[in-house]
Amino acid sequence: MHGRRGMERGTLTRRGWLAASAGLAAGATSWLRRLAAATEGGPRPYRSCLLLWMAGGPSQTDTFDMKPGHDHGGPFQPIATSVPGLSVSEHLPKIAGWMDRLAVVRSMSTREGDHGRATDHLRTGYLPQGPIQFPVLGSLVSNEHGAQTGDLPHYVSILPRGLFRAGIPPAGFLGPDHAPLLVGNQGGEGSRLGVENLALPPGISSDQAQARRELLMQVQRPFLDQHPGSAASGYRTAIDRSTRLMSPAAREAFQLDQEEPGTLERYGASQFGQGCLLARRLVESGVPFVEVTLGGWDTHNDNFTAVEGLCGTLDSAWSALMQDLEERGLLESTLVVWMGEFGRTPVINPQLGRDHYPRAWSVVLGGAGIRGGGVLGRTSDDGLTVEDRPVAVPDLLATICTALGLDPQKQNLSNVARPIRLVDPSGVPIEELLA
Amino acid sequence: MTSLPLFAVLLPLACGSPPADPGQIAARIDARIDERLAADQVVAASDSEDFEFYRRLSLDLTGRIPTADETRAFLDDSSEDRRAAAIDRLLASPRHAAHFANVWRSILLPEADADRQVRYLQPGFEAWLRDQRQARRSFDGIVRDLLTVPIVGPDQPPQLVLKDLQAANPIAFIASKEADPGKLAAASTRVFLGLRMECAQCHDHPFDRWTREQFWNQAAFFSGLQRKGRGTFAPLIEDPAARSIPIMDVDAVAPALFLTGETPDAGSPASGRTALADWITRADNPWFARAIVNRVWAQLMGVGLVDPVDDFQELNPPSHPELLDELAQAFASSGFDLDLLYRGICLSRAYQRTSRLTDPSQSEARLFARANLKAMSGDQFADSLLLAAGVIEPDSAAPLTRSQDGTRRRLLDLVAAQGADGEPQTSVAQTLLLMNGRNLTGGRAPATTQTPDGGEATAEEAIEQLYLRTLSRRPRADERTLIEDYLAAAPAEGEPPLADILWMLLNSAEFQWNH
Repeated sequence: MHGRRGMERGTLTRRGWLAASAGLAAGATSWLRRLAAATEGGPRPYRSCLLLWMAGGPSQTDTFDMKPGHDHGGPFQPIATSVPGLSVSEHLPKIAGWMDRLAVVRSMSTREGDHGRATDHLRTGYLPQGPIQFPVLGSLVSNEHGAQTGDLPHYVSILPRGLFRAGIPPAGFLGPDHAPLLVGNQGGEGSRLGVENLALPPGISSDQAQARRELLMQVQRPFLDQHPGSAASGYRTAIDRSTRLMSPAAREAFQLDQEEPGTLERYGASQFGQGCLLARRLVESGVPFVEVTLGGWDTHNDNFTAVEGLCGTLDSAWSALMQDLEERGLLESTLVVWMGEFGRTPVINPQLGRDHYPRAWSVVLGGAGIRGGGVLGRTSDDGLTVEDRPVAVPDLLATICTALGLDPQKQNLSNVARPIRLVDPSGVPIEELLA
Repeated sequence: MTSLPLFAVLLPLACGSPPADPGQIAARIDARIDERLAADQVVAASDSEDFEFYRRLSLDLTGRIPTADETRAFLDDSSEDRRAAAIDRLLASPRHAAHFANVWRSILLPEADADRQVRYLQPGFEAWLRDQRQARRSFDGIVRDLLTVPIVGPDQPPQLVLKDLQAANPIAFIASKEADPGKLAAASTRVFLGLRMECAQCHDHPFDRWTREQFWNQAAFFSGLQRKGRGTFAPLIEDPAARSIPIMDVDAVAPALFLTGETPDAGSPASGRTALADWITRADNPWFARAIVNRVWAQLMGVGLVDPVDDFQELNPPSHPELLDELAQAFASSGFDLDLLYRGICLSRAYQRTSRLTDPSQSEARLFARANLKAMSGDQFADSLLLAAGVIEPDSAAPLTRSQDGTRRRLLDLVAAQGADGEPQTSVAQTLLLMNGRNLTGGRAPATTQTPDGGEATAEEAIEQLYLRTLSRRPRADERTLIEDYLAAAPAEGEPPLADILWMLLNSAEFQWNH
């Protein structure tokens, strides 16, 4: 049931990773070497996670768990993939060629059918419990990597429109050091992706910026010295991280125009395509957790037109990402996760739409730590129920953590002074998927 | 079932003679705090300077830093009782009622931070809280009205939750909990009694002595509530006679029963909610006065006597148990008078100490040897920043609510609270905003070229004005020297160098913290 190549790959050793990263640095451009140099020496071997977040809940029946011949199946046809016997939607022709490196879980079985609650559940692994501020997965991973040492943070979230809510710190009890750096559409020419307020305001030269920053630290030294503690050190860290992020080396990681025109074309002209290309650059620069959001999957009306369009966007960007990661030797150390907050009803509603459906849906994993080329679980012929190997949210999160080399049972101290495990203790890693 | 789990450590409030006026309360606070400092051989920090006190008081009581004019007036006041007068003045201001509403909205309606639908209920709820405080309602009265907001009986057309966005109405508390008896029981016990019973919803509490049945006994008081439809705005009805509820996932029914083991009066025609509200707000309820006193203490002192504030239990004893009891007693016997409580705490030497570390022994926040640093809420930060940056005018009219001002809303979206409890935290997003945000200092020269009486300001006067506007004090001589050197070295072209000084002040920790 598993693909050939997937069976051959083993867990990377520390030595193996270091060799791979050395090879990467040697072939990289100067800015990449500078960034790599900043992290040399200390850090442990690590794997990166690239989360493709499908906001709104993508339709499994029209993508990775097709029901041809059934009333619920809809108009799309299945096509063959690089894995014999495994088919996907005709609108994912490029990803079909990568299925030997990817594993489909067709038996996600969850309970939350509300966007907000389901999003929280999938992204933190926990359901709300009173005042505990659960961190999202990216923040958990960031925390495992400790304090930021290079110019870039450990967690970057690209195009997070609506993903993080005002007033809710996504890093929860882990604090602002592990909050995501948000990259959005900055508007203006060509709708570029960028970090808000990263550039100096017009009329401020970098000399002036540096001079006034020096004045700031000089003038307030007595105040900070008189108030020693976590607030002062956190404040200094935030100034330092922000300044490093504004450095030319870090900003270069965000400049997509340094890529070949052909590369941009492969990813597609969409914002999501640009986001995936940026994600690759960030993973190359050593960021351990990058997520890119593709919204629009909440297809209550006219599902098939919308899904066809979204699949086109997704197919180009995702397959280009797979290709680049593989060519750079990064796929073995980068976990790629495709998921939303739930699936959609197999039953097609009168508006030719599909509604929220948490009971039986699909996610896709691949890359680091994952055996590709297989399918886990099975839904019934009508798609309504999971018939084999149901997977709950904590199981999925435990699998992701394990694939990243993290112990899901490790504990962090929460804001209510109670230890909280990375993943809800009920979660069991899916052994069949782990390489 | 009739065991009283916490009574070993938490007796009903004794009926001694509690401190009755603010001065007596302050004296009692200082006696208890100093007693403990002496026992632990900790040196208390010195009194705050006037500017430090006034900035802290403004943030704590009115939710923003003072304006330059307010600061100047206070610093130039040499009367003996200027601090006590300032406390009274700020408590009486409409801004205090607005800040009170913001603070308690975030405690009672945290859902509005995350849920767009609940956010529609926020203006009316805040207006209601503001009105209560402005009218000097006693706190027990506020809680009773909140819990017993009238809802029509089952034989009438269901009652709309949202009729008018702005009209003052406390029904948001029930609507935001989806009128769900379990959620209402969890929120009421946590907020008003300082007890965490949520975990007991599904199983007996793992760390505490609450049983699952006791959780559902509380939920039973809300069991008459019913939503007719789905969603936050679904209309409501209530069967006032209902007093029991099925326990989730178990074949059993829980009757309404107070946590003290007493049974509510069966013959009462009023709803279960009324019975619960009456019991919660009784002067001899063992938790209510303590829980509220503790929350107010934490808001002003940075950390609760019981910390976290909603975790009263045997394994989490108060830092100063006698003080907690005495404050609770004073609060209850005053008829839950919030002004008395605020005055008493703010008048204490403990509140008025400097936040500077003046001795190595002062590291433990829970001993209150120096004033604790406090994180600003999103509201406090946004209002202070907009005021200091000159984006909003320092008028004293009713404050902006979230929905009324686009700049403030964007700021609130970008800058979350600096951490819910404990020391302030600084995020990269906030730092980048303050360092590079275009609408804060760029494009708008600081309005400091004029003196208060309309003359042309010298550089020296302008610097002083900027300090008053941001740090609520005048610059020290060493700061003046550094700044004058900087201005002298600045090139002639580019942004006016005074804008750099405003930039520097807004980016300083001293501006960004409540200290």
